Amino acid sequence: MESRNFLVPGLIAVIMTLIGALLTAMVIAREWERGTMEALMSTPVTMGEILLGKIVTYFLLGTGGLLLSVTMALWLFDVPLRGSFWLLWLGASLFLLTALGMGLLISTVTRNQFVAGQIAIIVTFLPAFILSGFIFEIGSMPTAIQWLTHLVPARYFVTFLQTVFLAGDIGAVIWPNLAALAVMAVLFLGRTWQISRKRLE
Amino acid sequence: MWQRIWHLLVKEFLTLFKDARSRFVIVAPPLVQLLVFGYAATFDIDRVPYAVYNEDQGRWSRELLARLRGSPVFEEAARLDHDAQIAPVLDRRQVLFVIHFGPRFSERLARGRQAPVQVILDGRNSNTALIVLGYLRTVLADFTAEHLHIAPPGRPVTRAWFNENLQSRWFIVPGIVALLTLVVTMVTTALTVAREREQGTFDQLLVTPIRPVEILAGKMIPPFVIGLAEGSLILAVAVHWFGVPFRGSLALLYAGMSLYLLAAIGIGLMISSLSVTQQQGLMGAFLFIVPAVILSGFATPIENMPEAVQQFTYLNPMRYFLVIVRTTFLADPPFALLWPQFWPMAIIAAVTLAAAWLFRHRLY
Repeated sequence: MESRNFLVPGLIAVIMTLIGALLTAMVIAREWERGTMEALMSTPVTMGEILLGKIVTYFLLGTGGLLLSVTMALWLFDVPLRGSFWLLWLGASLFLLTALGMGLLISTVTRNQFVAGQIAIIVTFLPAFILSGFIFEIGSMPTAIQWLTHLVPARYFVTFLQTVFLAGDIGAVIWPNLAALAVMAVLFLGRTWQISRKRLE
Repeated sequence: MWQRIWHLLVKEFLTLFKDARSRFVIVAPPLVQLLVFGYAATFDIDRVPYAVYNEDQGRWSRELLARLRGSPVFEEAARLDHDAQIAPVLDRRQVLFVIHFGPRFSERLARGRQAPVQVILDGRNSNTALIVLGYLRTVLADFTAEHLHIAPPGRPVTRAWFNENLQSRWFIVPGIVALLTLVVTMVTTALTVAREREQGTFDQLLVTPIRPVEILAGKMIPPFVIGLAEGSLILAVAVHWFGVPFRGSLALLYAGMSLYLLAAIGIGLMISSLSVTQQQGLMGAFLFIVPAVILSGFATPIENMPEAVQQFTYLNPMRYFLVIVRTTFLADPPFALLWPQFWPMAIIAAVTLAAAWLFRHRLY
């Protein structure tokens, strides 16, 4: 029973949050602050395409980060990967999309890099660190706080990662968590798209 | 000179507080987080779900199970009647462990022979698993001692000093004070210079008669004041809401907090002067905060880290402040005992603030 095997997958979740939500929290706000958003809008590019451009870029960046972290987990820290790599990749992609959605939503709503940065750290890093089950057992928290952890995407991802790494492909754990991540990704990205379209009209 | 610094201060506070949303994100979230994390962050374990697989018909296994049921730590979640059911309940995380009695458990005990009890644990979270195992051992030892009148040969009589009931909340809530003040000050400082640079107002500041040292002072003081205010608020909540006793000297704690804030501000300003855009500033702050928190001893003891990593933690101001805040809360240490925690933070603050000042000529 080595705690490293348990902590390293949790750290992957923290790193992915960093790339996904923190970097993107700034990108739309920056365009608004600098006035380049208006310039973009005057071109034939649609809002959906602008968002897609941001998502694809940071998605690729995040996938790179994931590959690097998994490589290090497996070969540097000797954490076993008992589940399948493709499942891991699927789960990580879903989580990345959720994180991107959160970042873009923060950015679109605030339109101000300073506020966006503050909110991004507050809603992503600390909950991912404390409320995800990464360090503190969720089952021992008071019931109200346990409910609250359901709002933290990292919670699903940490559970998923620990199972895929240490226990293997166990459908009963994996699919509900993946479904939760998918729902969150759709909600965040959909809301972002809705708000940006409204602003355009 | 003081007048110029004063005007800068007014301007800095205005940029932080004139926008309602910015005002809100600086003040409200740390408090909400302290309340949520104060309850969430605990190493104490209770209501651990377990499954029973009892093949024994006798009275001893029933007695032992009654003990488990009577304890608030454990919660029976399932009864199994087949070998094949063990793996699925563990895999799906329905239970944290399965306790299994063989068919001849009571019979063996009645004959005075050894009777093994099998416990299968979910080791995914090894920390929790070990704590649960510890609890189970105590239950088993008490059971053997009381019902079978076999007293264990040696019995430790323990008493915990400082945290008499060994509540992990008393240990963690003071740690959250250090965590939240770090995050608040880092975020407010790391973006300030970068923002001025991005908007081009930093160049304007440089061509005014205000000297770089004064700009630095103007950038330092607001986060320091905010950090102190926020820190005091969090302290008050820790003592009055969570009921963590405060036994040490307040003056010592504030001296430590001031040095800690200066070190955090120094690092934040250094990151900010090195970055050209706010995105870089935020990224830099984050790249510092994550390792700083993980390598501070907040959740995992520094002594357990590899030697090379331990050396690295000496650069981390949070490591020192955590010791100060935890000992001043629970014990009443003399200054001499905490001195080794004070001077490294002073050095970190001096070096990073000097570095931030050196980067004043970086315009691009």
